Amino acid sequence: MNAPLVCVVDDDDAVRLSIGLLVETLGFPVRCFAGALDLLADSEALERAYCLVLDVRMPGLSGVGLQERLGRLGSVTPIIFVSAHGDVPMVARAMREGAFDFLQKPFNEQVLLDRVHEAVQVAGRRRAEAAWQQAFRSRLDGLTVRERDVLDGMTAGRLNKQIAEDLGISMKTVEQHRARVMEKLQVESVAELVAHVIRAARGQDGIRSGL
Amino acid sequence: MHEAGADACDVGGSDGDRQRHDCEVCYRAVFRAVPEPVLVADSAGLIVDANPAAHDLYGLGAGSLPGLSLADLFAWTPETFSGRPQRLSAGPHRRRDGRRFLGEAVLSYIDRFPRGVVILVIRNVTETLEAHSRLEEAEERWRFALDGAGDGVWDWSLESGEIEVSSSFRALIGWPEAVRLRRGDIWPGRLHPDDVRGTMAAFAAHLAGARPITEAEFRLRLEDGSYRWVALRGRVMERGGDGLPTRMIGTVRDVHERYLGAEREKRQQQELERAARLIHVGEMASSLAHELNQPLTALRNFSAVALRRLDEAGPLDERLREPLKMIAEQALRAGAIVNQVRSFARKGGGQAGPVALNEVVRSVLRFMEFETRAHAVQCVLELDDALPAVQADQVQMEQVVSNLIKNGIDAMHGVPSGRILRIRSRSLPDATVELAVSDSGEGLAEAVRADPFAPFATTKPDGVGLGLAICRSIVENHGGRLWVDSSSAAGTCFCFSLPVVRV
Repeated sequence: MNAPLVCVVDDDDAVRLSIGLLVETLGFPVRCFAGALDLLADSEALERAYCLVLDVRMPGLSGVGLQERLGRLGSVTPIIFVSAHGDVPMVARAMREGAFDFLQKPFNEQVLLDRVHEAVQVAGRRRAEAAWQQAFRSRLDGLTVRERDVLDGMTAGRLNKQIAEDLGISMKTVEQHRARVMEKLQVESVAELVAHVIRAARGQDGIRSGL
Repeated sequence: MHEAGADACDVGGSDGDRQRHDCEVCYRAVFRAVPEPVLVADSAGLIVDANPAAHDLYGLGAGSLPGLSLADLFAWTPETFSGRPQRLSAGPHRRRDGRRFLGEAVLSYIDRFPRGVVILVIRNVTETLEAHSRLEEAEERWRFALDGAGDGVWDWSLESGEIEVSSSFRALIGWPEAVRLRRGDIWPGRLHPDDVRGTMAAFAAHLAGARPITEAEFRLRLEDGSYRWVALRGRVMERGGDGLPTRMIGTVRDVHERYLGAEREKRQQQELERAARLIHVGEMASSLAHELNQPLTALRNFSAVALRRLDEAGPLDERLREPLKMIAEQALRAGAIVNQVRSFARKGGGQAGPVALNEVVRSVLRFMEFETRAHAVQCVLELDDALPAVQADQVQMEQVVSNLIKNGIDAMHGVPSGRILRIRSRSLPDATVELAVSDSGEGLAEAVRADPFAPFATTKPDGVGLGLAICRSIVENHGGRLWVDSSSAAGTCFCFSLPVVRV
């Protein structure tokens, strides 16, 4: 996997360059954009980004506007806003939309670096979680209809005998389906299976929270 | 004059012919020379002598008057001289061509002659009388018009000091009709103390000829003790032979309601303008904050990057590191001040905590060391070591103190030597601390002395006049107050006090 990329979007040349140089001292590759639309157009950068540092007020699409667009696209990349205005309503809106942090310019650069570092780690966990979710979903998709029914019975806490009665099949058949489900979902125990199913059920929320 | 002549003859009469003759010559000369027409008649009204001026007046050739009767000239009857009147009042006199004029006569009686004679000095008063009656008529007319228009009229005789006022003026003040008045009873006697100077100056300027008219607005005290705004206009109407004013006439108009209305409008207008300026300041502060915060951010970041690169470069030269760190710190400090100004403009508050004012003073002086040295200002600190902390926002306190110090330094700009800035802190019994910053400058300029804290009051060519306004707002937001303790030619002292932190 590529090293975590940090993208900086600010219309002020000096601010953009200085933030870029700062973040580079963390050892992350950095890509700078003068406008929100420039970043939106760069799908490769969006794909690789582990953290976005966005100015709030920019000509054209604002930082908060970009945040909304990315949210609709399903992006879970942490966003740190930096603003020379720091209006309370704007901060509230950005944070409600799930901003990772909001810094008032000029800021203590150490705070920004700490937050970028944390954001990258969170992004790593989110990416891992998203990858697991996707993998687990494809494994679930590999189950037959019958196997799915048995899985539902198991996660509902019903005994093999009850499942057999529910589905009108023999105990032995239930046991065979159970073994196939455990194998296909790559779990060792029923407890592990239940934990995986719950984790999958959290889906997007789980990814956002960085679990 | 004619009497004096008669007396001279009288004196000479008891001595010899020689003297009598001299006297006669003298009498004739005077008689002929005087410009006043003189007639000499006997008690029966027969003219016995007349001087050239008399012949001119009545349009007759030289020497043709003697022998005529006074009755040929005016309405004379044998009874005219009975009772020996001193003067004959104006009446029609006839000239030879039939035209008439109004004539007065002053009479003297000499009984020594056998039948007695009367000397008449005639004066043509036609023009004087006509002018007088025209003037009286005109005065009557304008007094009537002004009184009718609601204006009080006054007529001041400067020689006697008496002043006549119209009934509407009397009614305005509440004086009874009969009371005789002198000028001083009205001005300055009835003027509001604050208006005396301006009003008297308006009179003086006109009387001295500097102004074509006296115009003044002032508060007039009425009989009931209340004051009303009136507008006075007046001008000199008559002057004496020496050109000095002898009579002044004018009007007084009640402008109370209009004046109060105008005052109210003026105040509202000022209030509006002030609000507009403050709103403008708010906008300005907000956009200025944004514009300044951008380069400050870059400044902070670049210096931080430089520091980090120095770290990577290996063993460090501290002499390079320290100033870089200072740059980074000052960028943040500037940002904090910018944001304070903005929050001031928005009436926002800072973050309050215990603040040691002595420390604030010392750190501000460290920041301003360059300035104090550049202006050769000697700083004298009289700080109370046991000063309790105040509940305040550190950055805002720095802003207030640095502003006062900066003002002090600026105030001593025109002082060639002995520039001393004295900063004193002390704790007061009412659980407050007081900080005083005094300079040895030339005192507050006239332009700002009335209210040095008013927004946009400034005497500095590059100032916007917000410094002290912001300072006072900050101090007041902290429950304290800021004031000018003294300002004289020996310097100015600004003080502020703040409540101490409650333990």
